[in-house]
Amino acid sequence: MATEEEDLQRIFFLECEELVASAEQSVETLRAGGTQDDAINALFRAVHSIKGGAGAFGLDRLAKFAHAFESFMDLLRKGRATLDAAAIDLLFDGVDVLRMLVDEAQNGTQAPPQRYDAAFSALRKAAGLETGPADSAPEPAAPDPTAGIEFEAPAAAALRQYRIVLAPGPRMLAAGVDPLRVIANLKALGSVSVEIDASDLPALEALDPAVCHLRWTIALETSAPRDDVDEIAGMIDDLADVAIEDLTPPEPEAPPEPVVPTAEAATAEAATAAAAPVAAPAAGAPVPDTRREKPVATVRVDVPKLERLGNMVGELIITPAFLARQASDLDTEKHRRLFRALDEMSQHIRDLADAATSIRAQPLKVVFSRFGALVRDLEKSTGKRIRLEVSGEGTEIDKTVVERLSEPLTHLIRNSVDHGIESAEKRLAAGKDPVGLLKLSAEQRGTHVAIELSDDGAGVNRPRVLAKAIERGLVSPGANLSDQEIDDLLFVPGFSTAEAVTSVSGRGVGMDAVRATIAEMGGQVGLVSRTGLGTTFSLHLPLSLAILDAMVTLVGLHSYLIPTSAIIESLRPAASALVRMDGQNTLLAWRGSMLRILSLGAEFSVPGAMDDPTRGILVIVKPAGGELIALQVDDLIGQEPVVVKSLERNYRKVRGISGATILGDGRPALILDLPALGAVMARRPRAEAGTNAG
Amino acid sequence: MGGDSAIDRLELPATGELAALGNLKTVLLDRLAAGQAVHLDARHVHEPSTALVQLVESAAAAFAARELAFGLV
Repeated sequence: MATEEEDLQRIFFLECEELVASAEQSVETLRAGGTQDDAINALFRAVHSIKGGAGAFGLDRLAKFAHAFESFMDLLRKGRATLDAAAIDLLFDGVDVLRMLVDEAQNGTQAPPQRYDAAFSALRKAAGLETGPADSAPEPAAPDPTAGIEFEAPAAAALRQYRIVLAPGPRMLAAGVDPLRVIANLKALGSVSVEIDASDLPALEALDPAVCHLRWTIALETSAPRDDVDEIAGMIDDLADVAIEDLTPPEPEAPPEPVVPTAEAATAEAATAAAAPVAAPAAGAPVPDTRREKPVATVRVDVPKLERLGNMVGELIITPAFLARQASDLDTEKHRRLFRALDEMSQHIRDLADAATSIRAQPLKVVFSRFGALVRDLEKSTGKRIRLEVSGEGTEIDKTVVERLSEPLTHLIRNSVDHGIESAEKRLAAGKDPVGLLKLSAEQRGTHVAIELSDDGAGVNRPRVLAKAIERGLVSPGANLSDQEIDDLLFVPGFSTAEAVTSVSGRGVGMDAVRATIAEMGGQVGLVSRTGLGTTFSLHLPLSLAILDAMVTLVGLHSYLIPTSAIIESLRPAASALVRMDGQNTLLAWRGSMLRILSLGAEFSVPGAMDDPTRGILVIVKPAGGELIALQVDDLIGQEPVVVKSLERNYRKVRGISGATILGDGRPALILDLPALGAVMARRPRAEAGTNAG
Repeated sequence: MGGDSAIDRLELPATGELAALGNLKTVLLDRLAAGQAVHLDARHVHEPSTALVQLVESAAAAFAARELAFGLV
């Protein structure tokens, strides 16, 4: 019973998360000058849905705030308020506070009262719900967020009368929905009078407290659109019978919209007609609602169930490889149908795996949409001016990854603003636009998603980083480090160059945690910085945490897997392409560059591995953000989809290995951790001659 | 307890949970069977739920039918 109500609330809060993200996205679209009607309507619907749910669960502060927000949106969509910069600021502020109030309702973390009061008052004022001066504003010195917003006083919309008969079904109370809350929601729309019908109330002995035996007839007089009434009824339509009758007398010959009799207003109304249908033309007549898109039917599924499905599909995916190996000795001509069936099964299982992956996928918009507010807050706290450009937010990735990305990306953005982008004065002095540019982008590359955050700031201050590293004993004085090696110091645990710990970043606990979090998800973080021009962080993440496309290689008698997305090329080098350095390092001359060679046999002390690169294969890989390296293996076996298993969970963490798997032939194999191997190479001394042969 | 002068005072559950109301119904039926008058203490109920309202209504009818004192305090 109570658990059922908790379940319903949990679903509501999940929906709120999506609705707030959608609302923020709409405001971003409005700020960017996107299609106004669509974005305004989407924002209106998101806020409206939050209001409805909040009312049903008795979350009064959230419901009241959403109501004020929705009222302002209503003026905007009817063209009665102007959407200028001040209005957009107010909308951003409204979404921020909405998110805080959802969090408050869900987790009990109270939204900052001053922030709430200011935004609530500003929205009410902008919506024409509060006509006097903002005397309730707690901070008279704070700028009035509604200053500059032009809005007309809301015209008195025609009152309509409805008779609503509410007959709860047998499950309504048990589902945690109280009819009295529904009546309270209707009351918020206008004036109501309620009659209770208790004629079915049984004698005490026969009364089941979990079943509602009462019925209500509610007379509602409201200026709210019919949609609002339908919305409240719609929230309980599977738990109760709700009959709504429009008792408003038909208007005599009056035009349907007597509000603002100007040509502009008429045009504006026409433009938004699809978004704001007028009240029902006649009692009981259905109102065609052209505003709403047909919703996509959805089902909520518990994550553990999805994980189980993913695991089962993962186990299935190695079956075709196993069967293909078993069948490899058969005559292909004689068994043509068998081989065709194997091919088809393999394809179907790949499709199934893709479908299972896509079920868990969510657009990055869910997390990206939060950063507009973050950047605005950072602008305020640092005094810097920043423009955030977001692209590729529709790129989808595993839900678990999306959820875990927020923290590392937040830290990277804070870091870019704090350490990368200069103040407006410094930028002007350097001949740059005073407004710093922060670009956040995402795109799918094969079985991975690449996320980049770049700024056009000053770049990594390498002398300062090196000095700090020496001061902290991380690097010995006089060490000769490459730029990449210095940049890599930023990811060393506890490293921070901040002169003083700021509220923005500089606590020295972030960059190593960013790398660790991304690595835990099977991803890599890279950094490329150019002095005076800016810094780019690259995150390379697998689409799915469970399945990986890998190249199976042989070293001695052991199999090592290389993620195919990182492979640039594989080759058997001629002796003339190899340059031996100081008896320890060997470099490969490749397309005008000298690449370091990392022998997996030597690195993992594999018995029987080939020493001579000219007899083996070099696989050239690019760890995200790192330098190209050539991995020396004995042979390539072939490409295979594999199910990633955690080595750490089942054994312990091994440097250079990100996980393990079982191959199609049943043998275990280790999956290489390329960023870690790249870091191993970066730390090794490198002869000057080899650094750049291009 | 017991006797005409003693009116049993029962506290209404503040949250109006259905399980608590089920228990209250059992207690009310006991009192009814024992011919015991009751007063329901509603001091902790800030927002009565539908389930609570209908239980109280039904109880009021049952006690009135037996001419036993029933009320809210």
